[in-house]
Amino acid sequence: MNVEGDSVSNEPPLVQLRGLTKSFGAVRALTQVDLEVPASQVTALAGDNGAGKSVLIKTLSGLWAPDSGEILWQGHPVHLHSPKDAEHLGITTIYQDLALCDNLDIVQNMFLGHEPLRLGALDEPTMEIAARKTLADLKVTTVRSIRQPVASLSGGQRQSVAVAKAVMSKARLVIMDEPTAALGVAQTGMVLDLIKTLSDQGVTVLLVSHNLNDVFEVADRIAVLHLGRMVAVGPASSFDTQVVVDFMTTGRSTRFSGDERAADLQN
Amino acid sequence: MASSVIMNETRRAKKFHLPDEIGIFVVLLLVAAVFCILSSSFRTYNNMLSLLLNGAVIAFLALGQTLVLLTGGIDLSTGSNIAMTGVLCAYLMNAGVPWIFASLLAVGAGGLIGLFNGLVIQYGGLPPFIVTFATMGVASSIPLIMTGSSSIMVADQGFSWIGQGTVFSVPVPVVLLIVFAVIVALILSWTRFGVQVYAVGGNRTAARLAGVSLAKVTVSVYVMSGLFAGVAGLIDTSRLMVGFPTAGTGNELFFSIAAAVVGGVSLFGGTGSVLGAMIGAVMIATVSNGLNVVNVNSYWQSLVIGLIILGAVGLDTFRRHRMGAPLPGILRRRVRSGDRQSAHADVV
Repeated sequence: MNVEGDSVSNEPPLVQLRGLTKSFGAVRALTQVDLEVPASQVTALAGDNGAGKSVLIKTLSGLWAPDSGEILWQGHPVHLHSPKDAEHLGITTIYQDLALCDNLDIVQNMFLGHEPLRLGALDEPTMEIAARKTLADLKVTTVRSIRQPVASLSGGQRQSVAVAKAVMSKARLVIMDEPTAALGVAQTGMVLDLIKTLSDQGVTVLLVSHNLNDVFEVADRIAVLHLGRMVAVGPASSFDTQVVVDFMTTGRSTRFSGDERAADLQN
Repeated sequence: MASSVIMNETRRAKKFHLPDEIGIFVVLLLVAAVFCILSSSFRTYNNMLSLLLNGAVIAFLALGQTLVLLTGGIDLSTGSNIAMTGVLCAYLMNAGVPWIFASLLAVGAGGLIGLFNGLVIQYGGLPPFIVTFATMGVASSIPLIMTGSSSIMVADQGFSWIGQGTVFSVPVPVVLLIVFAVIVALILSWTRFGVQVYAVGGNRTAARLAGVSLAKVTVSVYVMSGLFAGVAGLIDTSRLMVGFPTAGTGNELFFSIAAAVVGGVSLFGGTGSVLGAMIGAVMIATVSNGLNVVNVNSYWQSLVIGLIILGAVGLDTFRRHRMGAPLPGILRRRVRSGDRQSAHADVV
């Protein structure tokens, strides 16, 4: 089901969600959610508090299994039973403040879980070279030493390290959960540049954000959740701030040119 | 605001290049110097030797304790593990088991206590403090039950080598300690496991999401702590050639935690080093020995060491506060990570 007015090519989207439903007891967190995340683009997932954004990304990162519905990876149905499954596919999620160990340095954080070994010991030179290269590829230049503990980094730099870690693990899809929350203006700009660089390099980004300025600055596509339903999906150009706000708060908008889903999915 | 952030960063970065061990080492030298001045018997070779010998038992416990503390846990059972392994070893030798095998079995029994601690903490999701508090009671009762609270004399003279022998005129316990401390230090800084120990102590969730096996790390550190307590039990028993069922229930646990903490190992997990803990152990042994030598009533020892712990933890808290994590935040994170630990036990 290709979306009207969308620039999706013939190849299947990297990730496709079909009829995803998830309840916690009596609470319906997600109801029949459909979403296509095309490869090498930045898709922004917007929604008010409690709209189901977190549940959606946790399902995609293998933390929670959906009650019903399916996840297609490059057109093939997949079952994500654990974060490991998601990681094997190439899905990396960067959680707001859970991504890094403050007491470890940048290199240790980037390689945590898959350090290269030589003669049974950590191969520090190889790690340092790869870490430097990855950071340079991402145009992260503000970090003084890759051997400084993450605790001494600014919020933006921490996000950079988390993203570099994802790139290092050959991620195809990077899910970023509110990466600019709690960041200042300059730091936010740095993270947004990082997201653009990432997508220029062919990595697909699913950006979860409250901040509509950020969303419009980097997103190719926008999807809006409202009370667990996907109410609108489309290219960023078919939205403006007011439209997104309408969708986020009321679930509908009268001025929208894209694909509005509230009506046909209401039951 | 941005500029103040940058300024903070520079200051923090500078702080980090000063190894914490230097500070405690200087304090150790000062304390030793003061005792040297105060007492002529402190500065004798024999006294230094007995200081190091006494320190070896504490240091072995501190070595295991350091591993556990680095992951954000605590092991309260190590002190009573000394009595259990020591008495078990004496018991086995009296039953005719050659001293080498008896020693290995006793150390293995210490490891079993650690294994139990680790498994219950990891899979039962119980707080380390409670679990090891309970095994502390269990491990202190076993030797009393086994012996009816009487001591067991060791007849096998070969066993005395562990506590009384020397290698190139260095006491065996000190040699053993150096060997194991170097091994643990190398493991911590050169292996994947070492990084994982620090990662688990720094941020459990991040470590788990990065694919670190919390179970492997947690269980391993408690097993190692148990094994080292077993070695400490052998040393204790071998020095007097008697297995005391009440050994290790005195100040040993207290002193070993003090040694680690004074040496810069954080009670909050994730920070510290073996070198620091070992300097801390020598520091505690020096204070304890020095107070004896200058004829301070031994009742004062725990008071002084208690104050030292308070000072060291205060300093650690202050340092963390400066690093941007206010104390309430740390505590909250600890509580939360405790919750996560149990919540994830069934997820992982």
